Amino acid sequence: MNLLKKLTQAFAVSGSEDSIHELISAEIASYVDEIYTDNLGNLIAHKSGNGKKILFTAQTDEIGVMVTYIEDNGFLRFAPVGKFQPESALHQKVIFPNGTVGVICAEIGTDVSGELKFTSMYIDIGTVSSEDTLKYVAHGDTAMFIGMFIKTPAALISKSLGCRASVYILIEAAKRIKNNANDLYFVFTSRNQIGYKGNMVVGYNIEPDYAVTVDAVAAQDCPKSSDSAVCLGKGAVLKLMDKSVITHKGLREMLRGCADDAGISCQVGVFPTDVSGTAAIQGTKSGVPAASISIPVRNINTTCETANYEDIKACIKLIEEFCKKDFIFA
Amino acid sequence: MLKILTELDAVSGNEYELSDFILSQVSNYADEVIRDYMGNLIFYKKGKKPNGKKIGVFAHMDEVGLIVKSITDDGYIKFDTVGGIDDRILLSQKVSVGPDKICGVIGTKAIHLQSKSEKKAVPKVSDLYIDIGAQSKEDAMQYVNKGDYIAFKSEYVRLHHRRFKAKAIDDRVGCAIMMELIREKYDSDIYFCFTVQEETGLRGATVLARKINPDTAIVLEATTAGDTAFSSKHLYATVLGNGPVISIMDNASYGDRDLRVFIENVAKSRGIKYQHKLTSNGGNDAGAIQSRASGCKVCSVSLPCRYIHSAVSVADGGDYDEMRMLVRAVLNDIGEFEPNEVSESEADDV
Repeated sequence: MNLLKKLTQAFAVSGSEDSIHELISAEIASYVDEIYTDNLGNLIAHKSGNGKKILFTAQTDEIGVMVTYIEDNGFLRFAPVGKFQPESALHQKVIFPNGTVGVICAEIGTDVSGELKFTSMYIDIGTVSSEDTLKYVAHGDTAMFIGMFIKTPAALISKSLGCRASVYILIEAAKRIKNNANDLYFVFTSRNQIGYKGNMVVGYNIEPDYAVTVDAVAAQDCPKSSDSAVCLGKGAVLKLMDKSVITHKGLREMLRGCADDAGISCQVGVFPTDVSGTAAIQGTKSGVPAASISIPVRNINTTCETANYEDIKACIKLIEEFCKKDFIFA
Repeated sequence: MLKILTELDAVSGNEYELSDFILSQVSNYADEVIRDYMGNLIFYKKGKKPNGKKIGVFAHMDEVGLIVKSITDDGYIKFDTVGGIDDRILLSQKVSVGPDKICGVIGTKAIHLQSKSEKKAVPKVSDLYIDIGAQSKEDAMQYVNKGDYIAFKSEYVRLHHRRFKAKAIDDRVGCAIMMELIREKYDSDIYFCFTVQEETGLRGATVLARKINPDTAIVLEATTAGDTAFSSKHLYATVLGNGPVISIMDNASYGDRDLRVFIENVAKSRGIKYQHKLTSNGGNDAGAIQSRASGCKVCSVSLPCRYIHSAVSVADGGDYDEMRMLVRAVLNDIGEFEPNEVSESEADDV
């Protein structure tokens, strides 16, 4: 739990993911045979075996803001890094890698109940002139949202909880798997907020026989959700399809079988409006059978992503069981 | 050179007039020349002291334009857009249609026939047509076929303060700089790539990046400048006269931080002006190159350009000179570029 907390609070705005790599490497190094980064900044941990080559990925990078302009009176204009709603950014705090903290505000007179736009918003770091601001922040700097990690009896709440829980799941699975017959790659992919860049190249370099992406999906159990299929607390989610991918049937059924045999709670989901990194790997070279194991998360892409710890544990257990299997289907 | 290049027509998918010209001018300077099935051009130059790294320099040949959709019984041409064009810039433009470059103008319903609401609204592409002076469908069909490409007709004109107006500044500036730099010798192995179909979805670069699989790529572009009347300063993105633009991040790619800092240091050491692109809007071939094959470190260097994607784009000759100097210096020094490896540690055995 302490590791998950550390991971959620790490700075890894898309494109600036170095510091979380150090954290992951330190955690996983003694459980794998080699660790390296590729040309795009994906961190690859390899646990070798003689069987099939299986690729697991988890996305490390989070949403954030990039400074685009500094006003004469010191305020910062910004662009979003990744996709999130202006409303969910308003009055949130952001922090730069050097510790500078700012508050996201809307211009006076902006109709915040109407259509709020990033171009009419700014970041206030408390300075009064551009000279003053430039001591702390430069054009092009990125900042992450502040959203502390909270554990309640029912749930975990934090910024970046979905992606970091995915990272946590891979780390924990890599630690638990011993004497693996299959050749396992645990890849912590970077730069996914713009079109899943990291996931697009990882399959090309590793050429896996099978791929499983671990990610977060929007829970469908909130008030007025159109559907209430995927709920918090009902276990790991096996994605049937989303807007970008239909997962591989054989692989998905095998995961389901692993879950049933080991008594791991799991649920099946369809996400018609979401896209995921699974698609990027599935289409690599001559094609890779790909499925995904997902954590249901409420309030996704906000500073208070909410998930259930039992669901996260179910995902870890499922990967552990899955890696024990022989792959017999084509 | 910019005058010649911007006055050639190369609407996405129909880049042959330009690519033939480029081949005729610079083929002699490359060790290997390839035109692939899509029409991309690759000029490979062996380095004097290669270090095993493949460097790609990319510019796209194509420009936004129009395509003939149908011809009415009266001989008017209905058309669609190729690439991102703002409907507002179309009305009353001069265009050249098809391989014979038939001259036409874009028209819409006469003003006295328009309703009040029509007068206020911007006419949509579907409300516009091209008039080539034909008298009937049969007449028009003698000169024009369905599927013919249509380019804007717009001369290169010098404005005040070394500024100039032309069509297709995006991305003939990149082509012009590459055609000049291809003539020189470099230490590193360099692939000069002229791509097709950028404006319709980075299609040429997608194929090319898979074929070459470069380690490092520099994308030469033109990018939007918002430093115009009626705009607030924080929305300018880039400014004419402030030098070439180095991108940090846009809708299609993340500039590699190490490569960006390297380029900035090259600029600083030689006293070359530069600016950052201060918006995350837009996207170019870098997006396709970055994530194809095994992935690539990319950075875009662009010329700031007002009214981009229109027949009357405006850019600055001073910026162009600085951009040329910067790219030349970067290619000379690129052998020294060493990205910081984050973590490359052999872990202990289990």
